[in-house]
Amino acid sequence: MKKIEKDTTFWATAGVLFLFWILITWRLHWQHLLVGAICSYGIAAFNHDLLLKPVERPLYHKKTLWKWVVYFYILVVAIFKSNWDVAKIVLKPKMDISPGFIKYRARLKKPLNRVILANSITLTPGTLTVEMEGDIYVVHAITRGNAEDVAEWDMIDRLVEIEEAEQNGA
Amino acid sequence: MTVVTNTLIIITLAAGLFFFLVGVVGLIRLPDVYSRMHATTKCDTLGAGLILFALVLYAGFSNASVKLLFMILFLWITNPTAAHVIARASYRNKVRFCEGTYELDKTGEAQCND
Repeated sequence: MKKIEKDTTFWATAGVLFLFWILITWRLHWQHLLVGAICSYGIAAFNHDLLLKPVERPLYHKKTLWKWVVYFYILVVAIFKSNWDVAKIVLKPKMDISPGFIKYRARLKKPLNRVILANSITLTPGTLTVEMEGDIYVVHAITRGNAEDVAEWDMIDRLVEIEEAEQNGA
Repeated sequence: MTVVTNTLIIITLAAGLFFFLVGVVGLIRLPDVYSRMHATTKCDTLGAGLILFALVLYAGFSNASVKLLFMILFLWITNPTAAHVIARASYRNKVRFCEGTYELDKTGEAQCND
């Protein structure tokens, strides 16, 4: 068996898991804490090759922290709007849809940022990520307007901006 | 429990139920797999989110509300991922599209190289 590297990343992950355990159990009895400590250590050790390195973490750089907060705030607002739009489409007696696929490139490099973008696309107005291969996204849109919008979505620019700031800072 | 909190809880619960209803109606009315995914995924995220949030308000700050907040967080991460997997599986298996489905290609560079 390969020796597991126990660096800061490992202990940070175990710490986050342990905190999560405490919040879930909501008890500070020593037996609960012991079981939690063993479990978080075990999970971190089992997944040691999957842990996020410092440079990969989205909230690691202080400069971009505020941008992430703004990003998620806009995302939540967009989720509410998209639900309202879908509700309007579905409940109208005459359904006004023109579904289609759109294929485009997003200029993102980090895998984690690509995943965040794919999830954001699925969560927001009339769009659904169907396929993601490298930096090419295939998105299904429910109306023609959504399809035109998603390729020039301002959230992509925000993510690119964050990524560039991270690279300059690191 | 004050009147204001109660009213807020009722409004949030009703809104959550409304979005679930829309999701179900969309599932029945929309024409193909992909458009149906739109209705169900989006309405599930917000519907379940609002109902769980109403329960958080009802529970106040306690053991239960922390767990409920974690449920909202994980639901909002896993729901789009699951939707993506279903859509991708049907895309790869060439599930039929409804009539009038178009395909736009905006990758650009690939066409120039060919």
